[in-house]
Amino acid sequence: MKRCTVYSKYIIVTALALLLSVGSYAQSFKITGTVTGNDGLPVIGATIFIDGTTQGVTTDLNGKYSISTSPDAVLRFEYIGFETIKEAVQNRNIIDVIMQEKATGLDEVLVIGYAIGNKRSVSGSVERVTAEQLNTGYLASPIDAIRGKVPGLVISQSGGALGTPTMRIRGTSSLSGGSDPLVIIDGVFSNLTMLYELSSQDIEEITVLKDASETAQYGSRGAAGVIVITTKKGKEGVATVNYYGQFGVSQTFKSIDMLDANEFRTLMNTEFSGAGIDLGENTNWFDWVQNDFVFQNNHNLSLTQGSKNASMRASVGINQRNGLIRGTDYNTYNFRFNATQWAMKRKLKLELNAEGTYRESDSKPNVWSSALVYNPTFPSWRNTTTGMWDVDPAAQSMTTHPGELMDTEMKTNHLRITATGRATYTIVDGLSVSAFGSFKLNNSLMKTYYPNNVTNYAGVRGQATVNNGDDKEWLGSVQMNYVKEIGKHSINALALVEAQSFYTFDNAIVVQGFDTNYFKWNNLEAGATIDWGNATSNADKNTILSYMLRLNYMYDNKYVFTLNARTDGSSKLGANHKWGFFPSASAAWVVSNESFMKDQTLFSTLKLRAGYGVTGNQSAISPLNSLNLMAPSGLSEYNSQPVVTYAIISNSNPDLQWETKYTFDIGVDVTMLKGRLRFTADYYRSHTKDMLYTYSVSVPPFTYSTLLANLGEMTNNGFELSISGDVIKKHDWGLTIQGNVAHNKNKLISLEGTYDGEAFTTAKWINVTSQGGAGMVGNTGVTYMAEGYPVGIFRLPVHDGFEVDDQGHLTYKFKDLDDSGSIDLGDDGDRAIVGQVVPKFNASLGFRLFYKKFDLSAQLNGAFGHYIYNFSSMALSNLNNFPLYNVISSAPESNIYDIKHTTYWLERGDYVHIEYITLGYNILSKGKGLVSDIRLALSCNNVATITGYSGLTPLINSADFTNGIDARNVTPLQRTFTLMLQVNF
Amino acid sequence: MSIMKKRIILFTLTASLLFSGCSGFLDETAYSKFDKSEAFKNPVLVYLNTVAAVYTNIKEQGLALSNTNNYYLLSEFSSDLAMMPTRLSDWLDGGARQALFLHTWSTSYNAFNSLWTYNYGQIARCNTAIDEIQKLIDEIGDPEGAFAAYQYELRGVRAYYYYVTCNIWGDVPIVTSSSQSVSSVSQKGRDKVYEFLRDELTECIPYLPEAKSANSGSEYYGRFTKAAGYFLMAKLAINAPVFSHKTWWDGSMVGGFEAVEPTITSRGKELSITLDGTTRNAWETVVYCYEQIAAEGYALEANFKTPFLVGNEGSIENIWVRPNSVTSYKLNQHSHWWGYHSKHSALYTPARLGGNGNSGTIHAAKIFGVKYDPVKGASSAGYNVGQAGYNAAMAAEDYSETDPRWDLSFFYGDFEINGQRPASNLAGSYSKGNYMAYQISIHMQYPNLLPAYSSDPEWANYIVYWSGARPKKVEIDKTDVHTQFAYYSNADIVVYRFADVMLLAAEAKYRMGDQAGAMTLINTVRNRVGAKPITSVNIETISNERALELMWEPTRREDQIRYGTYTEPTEDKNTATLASSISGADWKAGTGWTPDNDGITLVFPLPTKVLDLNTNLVQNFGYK
Repeated sequence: MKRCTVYSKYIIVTALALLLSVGSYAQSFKITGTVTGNDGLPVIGATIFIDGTTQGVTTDLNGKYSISTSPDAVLRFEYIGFETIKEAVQNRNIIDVIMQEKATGLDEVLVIGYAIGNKRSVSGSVERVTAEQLNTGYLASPIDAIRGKVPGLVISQSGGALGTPTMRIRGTSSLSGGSDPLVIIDGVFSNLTMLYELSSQDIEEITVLKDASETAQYGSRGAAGVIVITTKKGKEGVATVNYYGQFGVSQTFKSIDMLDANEFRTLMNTEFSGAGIDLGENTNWFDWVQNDFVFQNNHNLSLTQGSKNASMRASVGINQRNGLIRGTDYNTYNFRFNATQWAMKRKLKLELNAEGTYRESDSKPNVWSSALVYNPTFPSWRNTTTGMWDVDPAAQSMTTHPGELMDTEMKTNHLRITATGRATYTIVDGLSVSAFGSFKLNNSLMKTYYPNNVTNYAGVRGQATVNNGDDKEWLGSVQMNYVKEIGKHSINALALVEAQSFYTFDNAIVVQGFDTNYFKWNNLEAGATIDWGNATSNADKNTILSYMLRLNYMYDNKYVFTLNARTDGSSKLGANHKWGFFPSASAAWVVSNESFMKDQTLFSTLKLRAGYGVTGNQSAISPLNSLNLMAPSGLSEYNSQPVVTYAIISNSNPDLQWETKYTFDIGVDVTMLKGRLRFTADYYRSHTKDMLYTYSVSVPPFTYSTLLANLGEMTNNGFELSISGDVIKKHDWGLTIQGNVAHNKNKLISLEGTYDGEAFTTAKWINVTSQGGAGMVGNTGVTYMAEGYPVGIFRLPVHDGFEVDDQGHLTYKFKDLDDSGSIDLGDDGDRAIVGQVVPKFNASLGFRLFYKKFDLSAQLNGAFGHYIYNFSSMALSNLNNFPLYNVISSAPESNIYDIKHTTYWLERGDYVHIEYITLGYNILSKGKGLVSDIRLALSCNNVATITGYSGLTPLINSADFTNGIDARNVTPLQRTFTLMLQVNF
Repeated sequence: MSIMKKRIILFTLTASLLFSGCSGFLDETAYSKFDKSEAFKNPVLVYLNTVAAVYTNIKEQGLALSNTNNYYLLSEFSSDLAMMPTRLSDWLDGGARQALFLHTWSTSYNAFNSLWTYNYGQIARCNTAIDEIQKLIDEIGDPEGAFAAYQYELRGVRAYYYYVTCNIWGDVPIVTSSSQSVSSVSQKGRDKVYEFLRDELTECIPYLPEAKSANSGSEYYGRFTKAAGYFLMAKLAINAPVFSHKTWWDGSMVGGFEAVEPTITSRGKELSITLDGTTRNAWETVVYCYEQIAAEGYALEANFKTPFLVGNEGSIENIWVRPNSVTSYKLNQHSHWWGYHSKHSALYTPARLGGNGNSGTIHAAKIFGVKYDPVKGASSAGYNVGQAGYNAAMAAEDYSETDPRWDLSFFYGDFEINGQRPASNLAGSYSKGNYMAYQISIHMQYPNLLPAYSSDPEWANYIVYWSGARPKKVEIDKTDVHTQFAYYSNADIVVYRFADVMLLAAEAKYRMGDQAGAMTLINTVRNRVGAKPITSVNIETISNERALELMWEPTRREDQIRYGTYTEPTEDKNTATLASSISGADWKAGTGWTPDNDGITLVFPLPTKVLDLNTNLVQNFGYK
């Protein structure tokens, strides 16, 4: 646990100390001591002055210092972010002090997009999470580490599945992609997958830019919010080796209770008079596809060092995780190296950064629904006579045998390498220019093999697929910064020119006709056939050119103004719409610095903020969309030779343009009781215009039935509150509680408009998600969108009791909402809006308690105000398909012989989830021997979920408005116990 | 400050030079697509990227049953010959297929929208190709007339799609340019669409190539040739009395053979069509087209099966084919696999899955001359229950006097595949010996018929799942191993064949009073399969002959409409004597489901989605 979190802060401190130490001279009276913070940890690099002089020393890595002076001198202890302490020596040889953190860390350096500022001069909605504030417990990725930490940033995943979660900042603002926040890692444009693959131990801090007053810095890509990651760097005067390891074991704790083989037989032979097949075994397919225990381990080793003119940090990490389904895993290996060196009398700073990630994962097709419904009397091994799985052919058309799915192999390798370099030259004091260049390589390889002895691939005698992707990205920028304080004026200005170029290539090959399963994808010549259309490739290039200006001005520490203006040009857009302009302005008033606030002691800080800005989104637009280009459209014959024909294969829209989002934000930051109570509140409204949406268009005159166009409008508004307090703040024990709540209200304003002189309309109720099942094909719509409503609303036929036939079988009855005398279950029929998919409120509550060497932390996350459609229970309760498909154990009692969408199966999705509880013990802290720190922690993740939802778990990734249905495909949540070890040398 | 200013200016200048200086940085580079200028660089590319690009987009729609809801589905399964029955919950799918058979379809049935979008997509591709060729003619001329020939050919293909569209919906928009706006698209009356088609074909036929579409080695393999043009004109002419009648809902087109025949016959005599410089009435035009096709060398194959075999390339009977192949064209051919019980399809090598869907109706069996005793075949509520009922139903089937084409068109009763018969898994019971047999007794809706079926689970297995004669016409491709249903085939899909136009000519002769001429043609067709010659002819004979010859080919709906039988009840539907009958089921505006005595259902409703997207369009009469 190093105090200096931001290297530049450290540089200032040390530089100061170095200047001072030159002038120090011997005195007769020697004083030694340790400087610790109020959390009991040593303060490194604190300066101890002999008061009234400029002589001083700094504390070492253990917070120790030694100074010689006269016995009646007064020592002054200073450290950025802490209250200065004066201690009279009074003949003491040992003076230990405890420094109190300053009420506000207002001067802390803060990365705000391209700019480096500080909290004092921020006027937008910017959240910062430092390495110390990250979640504890098992961390699969840095995304886990910030879950619940930032109000308005929702991180959501489907059950216990592996892979990148969905992230939304202040709701969904686009219908056609581009709702993922932009991720910037050390200045490089990245994405959520790259963030997911980072080692959380390499994170120095994460800044989340939520509103346009700062996201406008990223112009056409900032609309969904920006997450700026700063990784750990080398530090001057430090030479450490850090090891961090986690070892975890997980197990599921809830499953769906289906009929076991005996219950299945009983029901089959009684109610169903022996119809169906009984192969005499007793198989629990749901258990059969799962690992009993799932193991995770995670190691990170880093070397950090720095001297006066150079510093470096190197780290390697391994993150290995097993999936819940047998034969699945997810392994990430990464390295990261960065070096900084000063030259030309510290006028030139050179930074080099290289990092790489290799991910290897094995996966299986989704087996959950098959495992739930498959006949439990079938054996869980291949038939020894036929060599095939015993398959019920009648069930095959709806459900593939779980064994056949488990025999499918899928391997994904992913290699990413990023290299960046930055040279910063200080022209005159305060004015610097820097050139930045980065190269990013993304290489992916996906291999799939379907063996020749599973039903679906026996016909083609096995199928191997190999997909290759090769993406390259170059970025070059020149940036000029001017940072100056002139009297009461404080200026931080930035000008930027940036050019980016993206190149992607992918190819895929599908080979069939394998007489042996030995080779899989390893020797494609073992397969006999490659049909036309089974060998494909695609290449694209697109470019973005940008100019950006930023001005941050502060007067007298009271009034802050920030202006951003960025203009982006994109090759993807048509000639008339190539350029987009994205300005923003924000202002803040630090009320607590006004003279009339001088005499009060309640508020340490009181700051009011307001901002407005424009950001864009272009991710839904694929390259070349604006041009009428031709691509291969089919195979034909010409003079007995096979030939390929070309055609325009989709409607093109030469008028495509940027989707733009206008955001207004007003907020307040308060700290009270000398910083022990902190409070932030924000209210925002955003309005997306020229929203991209793929319209159904009239054929004729169009050739194809869809067209991407900019016509729609959508709004999001909401508020965020966060509060944290140091309830107990003592030397050897303390308790900090922090909580936050965010509310977002989304509304689709319009999807209609005029394109090329034509009025575009959409259906009144646009189906977003459909869910079919065995015995059900028509009327499968579950969620919809419509003007005036949030995107993703449940619109379902309304349950009106059951119809009971003479055998006591129940079928659903519905309300005739339009009193037409008949029930229409179609999209426009007798359906009512009954709730929304995305939670209205997200909240989080965290605790951190320490007592001497022990610490205990926990976090609860919750989501409220949304619904989940429990299709799992519905489909698994339907006795119509029994004994073809197994049913849930309560089904015989419910006696429902029907499968139709109904509000009967809609449930509230509200939950409170105890994310983790971690108990830590610092065995050794600031040790003087070979090892300086040893920390051991034990953690439990996914402790419990408090919910009224009756299904497997309410955590089904509801952040994405296209979800909302629990459709027998949710990976059960697993409870993970993790042992963590941290050792510093 | 001045130094700083200078430096800022320098920075800006350098930056500008660095980035905006390189003009073209924001130009798009296409790697895996190309511009039209590349696509028309030489004559072969012009052909490929205009004409051939339309042909490669001729998909299964209209040609074969497939998982894309299509013309075949609407034409065959709304007729009296075939159904996709619901077996317990199988094939229920919201009741859409029941509704199609029983004529209770809803305007939102997705097959309507997918066929509309597909047809007009193909029409748009034809328009684009015609317009692109015109640009080339304007730019570089057309000394050899090759470009103009492409335009005529494309107009011929476009006429085929307009024929299908008009046949299904009646009043439809006519779009002939690639640059029309939405607001300019509105419907024309069915009579006007007929006139458009008539004039297009009159104009184009003389310029179509005299070549054989079925010859795989030829430049014209799979293309719309002159014979195809004449065939389409014959189809248009035979249905001209239907298409040119604007108010189809006036009751003049329904009521059975006797009611409709005089009207249609006399209208056909009054309609005049000018073709190859001569004006004839509709019936004369049909005969003329037939003669032109015959003169080109098309004829009946000696063997009824030849046009449908794997390796049907070069068949003299096939006038227009859509080339198909297991490895390249890969068109879906679901007609058979969907029809087979999995125990049936498992007998093929390799074993395949069966969909256990489409079957022939009892009415079809009767037309084919299967003697079926409804009293013997019936038990409780008209349906068979249990082994006794099953045996009774099988006993009720007498194939002694069936038409030879019954055996060539259906799997029924006890049958063999690769010398094997599907085994019964309940030894002895419900089967002939230890084998299973398809009994012809069938009903559209099994689930609701017998609530007591659960007391006899075998009913489900052997009555419901094994009922109905199954399709057998196109040869199953042994090399066709794709996917579980294995529906690709090397047999080219037959769009038009000679036997069809021969029977059209017979009908035209009959309608002109030449009964002997009609019988000669019909007996030629019958003789090929060894069926007894007919000695007298009436409109019902002609209707039945077309059913016998063209079973599982998508002509029955338009034929029935022309004969006035489309809205009539049959043994299988809309009859009061059927216990399950939803009494009189055709659509009548405003009054719910009653018999259609007006003819509203003679066209399908415009798809709801199409009406939503273009407010100029008006729903067909009688549909809301």
